[in-house]
Amino acid sequence: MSTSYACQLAEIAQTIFATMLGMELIRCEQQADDGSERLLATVQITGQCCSSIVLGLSESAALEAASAMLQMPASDASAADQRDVAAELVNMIGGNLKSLLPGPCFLSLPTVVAGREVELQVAGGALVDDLTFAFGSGLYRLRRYVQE
Amino acid sequence: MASGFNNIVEAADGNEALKVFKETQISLILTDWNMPNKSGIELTRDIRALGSKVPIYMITTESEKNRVLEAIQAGVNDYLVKPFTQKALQQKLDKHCAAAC
Repeated sequence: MSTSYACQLAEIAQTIFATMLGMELIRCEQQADDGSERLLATVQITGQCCSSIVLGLSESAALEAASAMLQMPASDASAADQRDVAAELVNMIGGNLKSLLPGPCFLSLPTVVAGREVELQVAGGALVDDLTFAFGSGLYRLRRYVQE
Repeated sequence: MASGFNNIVEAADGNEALKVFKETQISLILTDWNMPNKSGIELTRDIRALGSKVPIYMITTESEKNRVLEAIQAGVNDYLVKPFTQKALQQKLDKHCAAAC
């Protein structure tokens, strides 16, 4: 049975969004698995504790986040800008979580998948933490899969 | 850009950063640790191997003590852990400018 880091992940995500984007994420019960995700950003933590962190962003969330981080109007945020910001966000979340895990652990480079009705399968990974946040009209879903 | 910096050059990864560094007069480097092709640590080592004393600030999520030590041993001058506020970055840049002027 893998240890849940849901509380720590929530605090990490909310701190990152507040500090870097000026956005107060509200944790909500709703699971964003309704096909609303347009970007999936993932980073792998390897070593003593292997995890995959996946950040899913709805279309409006990707725009809001890119607009906030890059300090530009949402209408000016390109698809590449949105992917870059999603990658940076999951990189920060993974990096901050890594420092809490029993080490030594290593962080991969982030990978971003964009599209509609995209499914991501983490081979051999069990979904341990699954959190959804809202800000404005955007939904952010944060998952952690653990490879035993 | 405040703190007296009027020309910002970006690089997509460590290799590009090293190329830009060799071709451009750079007064301060802000680098991530986790980059494709060449990490921030490798970039720092390469720049120091060229004999350069340019200030290098590492901006990273790598916050464990041994990682910070590794960066300093590689030649990093200062360290900023993500997430950080704009004010925190500004203070680092102001500190650099105060020391350089």
